[in-house]
Amino acid sequence: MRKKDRLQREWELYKSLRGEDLRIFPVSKKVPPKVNELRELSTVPPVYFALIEELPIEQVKLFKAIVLTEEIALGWLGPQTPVIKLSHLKTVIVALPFWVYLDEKFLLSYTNKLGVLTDEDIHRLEDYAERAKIPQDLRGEYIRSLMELLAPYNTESILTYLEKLEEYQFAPSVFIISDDLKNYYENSHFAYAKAASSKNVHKGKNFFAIVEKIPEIGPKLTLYLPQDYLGQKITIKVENKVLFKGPLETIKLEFTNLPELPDYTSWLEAIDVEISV
Amino acid sequence: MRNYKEIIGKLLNNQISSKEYQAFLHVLKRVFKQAFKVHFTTNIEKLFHKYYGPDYLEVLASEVVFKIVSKKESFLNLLFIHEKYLQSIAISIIYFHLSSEFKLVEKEVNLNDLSLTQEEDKEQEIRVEGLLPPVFVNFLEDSALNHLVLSLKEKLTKKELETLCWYVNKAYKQNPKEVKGSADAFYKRWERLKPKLKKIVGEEVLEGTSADKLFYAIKSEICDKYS
Repeated sequence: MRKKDRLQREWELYKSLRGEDLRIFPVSKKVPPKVNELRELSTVPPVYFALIEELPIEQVKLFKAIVLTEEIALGWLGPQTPVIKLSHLKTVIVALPFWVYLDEKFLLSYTNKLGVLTDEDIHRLEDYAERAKIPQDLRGEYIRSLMELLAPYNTESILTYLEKLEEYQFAPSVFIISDDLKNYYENSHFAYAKAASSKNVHKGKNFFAIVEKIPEIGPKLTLYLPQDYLGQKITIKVENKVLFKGPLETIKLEFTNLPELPDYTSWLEAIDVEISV
Repeated sequence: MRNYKEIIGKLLNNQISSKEYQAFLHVLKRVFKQAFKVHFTTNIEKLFHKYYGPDYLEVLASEVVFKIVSKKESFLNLLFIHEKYLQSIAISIIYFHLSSEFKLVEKEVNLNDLSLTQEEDKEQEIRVEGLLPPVFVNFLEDSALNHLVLSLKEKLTKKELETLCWYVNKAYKQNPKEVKGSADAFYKRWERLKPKLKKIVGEEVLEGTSADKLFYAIKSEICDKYS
């Protein structure tokens, strides 16, 4: 008798329930999200989030969330996989090795608060998500499909970043800003701009930007653009000076040789991404 | 394709008759029977029988009702409730008891005891589990290994499977059975096969601590049947 492939069967059942899109429902009891909470996204089959970090961006609070699932056979990668029992719901869930960034409004509107985890458990989940490798088998396929389904919900339907996904699909395109442009910005009003609060992260209307200071190469700008821009001609400007123009090959773009500015807030706010006609 | 929306709606609005409730429980018992058969093993079903007694399906069916009531809002949102969704809830409940080593069994769930309104928000104590029951871990490990072995069977050619079995038999210090060709030729074939194997099962599996378990599964599921 042919031995049954239980992973395959769970995957088929999951796909038949999920459909092609993530259909989400608003929740009636809206509880503002807080770090350390475990929340359930109102969808079928449910998806769970453990909120591990809060990043204040503009007026919106952004939460870094580890994703957990009820699809045990597909999500469990070994004895190191964190397991959480929800006795009041007769449910057991396992952590998946990736995280997403979700804004406060999304969490408030579409997720139910289930309870609070200890700091120690939050660290365990984060540590696991950072260390565990996504396997190449059906479980990997399941995990990547869930990443893709969640991608549009990162920060108000605009893709922000799914760091693990990049390893598979979103290797960055890297650009070096010309010295002329660098000098221009260093001698412009940006050099004197001071913001009320200094931020190195900015969520624009159709992009997400981060400036990181890397000792070896100096400051680096990473831009995350929406997936549906892929293949389209786009123009990225910072106050009318063009940083990039051409077809978009990856949703993650990195720029080095950045101008040395005391504060990047207003420079980031001046970024404009447009689809070229 | 039956839609269970109406009966679940009646259940949630406390309008279900006793006859309808019994009929629904009957459906749920069938769903559990099917879930055990398709997604678990006979041995796991026997464990439920052992810990819950002969009416284990009845107990589990009541737990689905409990879950539906606990997640009232989610169920009312759905336009169509397919039996597959009930099956996924049944699977989830089976996993829950496996992970709890059958210590959290509630012998009876009385419909009248259930609150049909959302519970007041109380801070639920939630924690990441420490040591998991061997029955849970073994089942999941076995499912993953079984999937890998079946993938290998599907993706490797007959010659590649022969090479794999030669290696596995050699690793288990058994004499390869009547293989054509020299050991040297097999060794070369094995070296050529390794990258493909790594791609299918993953480097971390092939070179990690679970490699032994995988090779044992390959031996019993592929090689012993080939010889």
